[in-house]
Amino acid sequence: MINYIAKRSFYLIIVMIGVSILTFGLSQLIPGDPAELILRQMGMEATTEEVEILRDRLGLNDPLVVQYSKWVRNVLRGDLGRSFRTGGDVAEEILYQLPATIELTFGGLVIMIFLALPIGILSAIFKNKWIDHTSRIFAFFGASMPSFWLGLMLIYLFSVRLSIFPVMGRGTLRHLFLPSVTLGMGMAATYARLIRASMLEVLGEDFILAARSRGLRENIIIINNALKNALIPVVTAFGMSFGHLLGGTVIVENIFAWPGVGKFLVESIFSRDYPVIQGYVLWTALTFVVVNLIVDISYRLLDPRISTEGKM
Amino acid sequence: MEHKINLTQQVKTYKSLNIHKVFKDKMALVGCVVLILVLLLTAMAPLLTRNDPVKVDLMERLNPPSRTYPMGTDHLGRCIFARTLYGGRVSMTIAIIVLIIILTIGVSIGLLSGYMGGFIDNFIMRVIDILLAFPGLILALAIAGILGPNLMNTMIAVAAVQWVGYARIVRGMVLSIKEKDYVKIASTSGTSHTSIILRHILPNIISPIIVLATLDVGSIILRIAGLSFLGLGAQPPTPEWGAMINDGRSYIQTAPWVIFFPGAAILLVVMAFNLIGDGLRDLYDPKSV
Repeated sequence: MINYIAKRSFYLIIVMIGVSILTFGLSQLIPGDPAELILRQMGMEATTEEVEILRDRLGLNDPLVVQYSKWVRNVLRGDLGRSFRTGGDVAEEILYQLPATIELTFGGLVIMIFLALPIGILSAIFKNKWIDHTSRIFAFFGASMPSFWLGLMLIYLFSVRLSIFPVMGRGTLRHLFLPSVTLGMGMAATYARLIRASMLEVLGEDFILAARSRGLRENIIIINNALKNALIPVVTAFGMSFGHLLGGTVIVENIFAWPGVGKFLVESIFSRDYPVIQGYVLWTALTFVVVNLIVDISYRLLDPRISTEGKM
Repeated sequence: MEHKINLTQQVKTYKSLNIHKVFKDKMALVGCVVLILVLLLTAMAPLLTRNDPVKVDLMERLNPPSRTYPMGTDHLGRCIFARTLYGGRVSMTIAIIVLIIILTIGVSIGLLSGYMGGFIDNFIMRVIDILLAFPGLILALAIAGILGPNLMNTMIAVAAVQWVGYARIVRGMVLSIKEKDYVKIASTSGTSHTSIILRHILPNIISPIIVLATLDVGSIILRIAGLSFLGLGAQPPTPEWGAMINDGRSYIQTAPWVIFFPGAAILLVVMAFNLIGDGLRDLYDPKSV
């Protein structure tokens, strides 16, 4: 196990080196001269000379390799540069907005679990009955619904018409509810089907038959024996869909004016605040990779049948 | 001769069985019907409405659905019905173009990687690993954002992120086909690499790729609409579903129809593609055959 973790961590470092090269490469896509852009953002009508001085100071005249190694050295010290727009430290700005995004992600996950778990289990138990058919339709709707549309429709129904929930902003649990539903709904649809499929597989196994023949109550079998085993493959799928969750927060935060990192990112895109975009991309990639590492490790801890030898 | 006839008959029954199976799957049939209907509606847009989708008429702003404006008007007095129909053309054409780009890049790189093996394969696979370390939407958002908000850049951004999946799948398939006897015989008898790839490998991977592509159209439409909703994709006055919803956001309290109809159109089309893709996947899934 320790061997496996070490191997995976080493692999993570390699991937992160690649990620850093690609993220750095993003800055090469910027149309025009960044130095000129900075001066213009500061409200200065820049002369060629001033631009040249700034280019020199920012190190933009150095060869790319030198620029990259400087950038990496700064990133490793936690310095992601300064925001063009606010002038603040990018890492600090992201950290400042992070709690709101984590709160939203957590809310979305809770909604997802509350919807997917019962729907998945019930449609496995009542396979091909109306519950199962309804859940299949729910899955298709959930997978095809644009989350930004769902969010706006929820606002219209529950905030504008029924005045049950606040339209936007962050604060109480009531503020959190609609954004969480918007974020969790699409994932819940997919996961309900995943849990169903996994439950059906486990319910057909010998140990379930053995438990039944021992005369255990059906609901005890389902919760104690079946669900525990059925959730293992679902855990791995979660690693992959964590990326969707991160992308989802960007859209949901923008609909509900939720003051998190995702909203900050879109604002930065429109004010061409490149250091923030770069910092955000690097940060999400790191989170995504680390979450997947944790998922893979816990998958192996949960299921002792999987060999850790020779597998990456 | 008899043998030959028998063979063609067999192929025929196999094919009709397949088609029968698709249609047996009622959901896939529903998907087909919905898609054909939507395609017809968008194709016949000029016949269905005389309203100009981009004509601004401030006297008619935010009208509720009526006889002249079946889906109402937006904040600039433009007919939502006309915009939704013409928007379908934009959204679906973009999705298909992006899909073609993704397929071309993904399949070529996958073929190259799987067929050549060795250092090239290793290098390509590492690049793919790195790209997969980014959440797709966020990388696309960053690329589109940095290049600047317009439709072309958004298409580039989505394509730059999405080809990866195809390359990986194609590589896997090529690796297994490469080991088949007929490929080995072709290569020992001196058939050129290009000809082996084009005549022996490509025909074998094309159908599963088409299934995957059908399943993907929906998600491409959603992604582009999502980016347009954030303001990155289609720019005004282009009627595009995601951008239309973005336009209507500020009027949600008084004019919900501005948002409702384009969103429902996205839902309908994406669902149709997902239903068809799902039906096709069952067809090609070795477990179900």
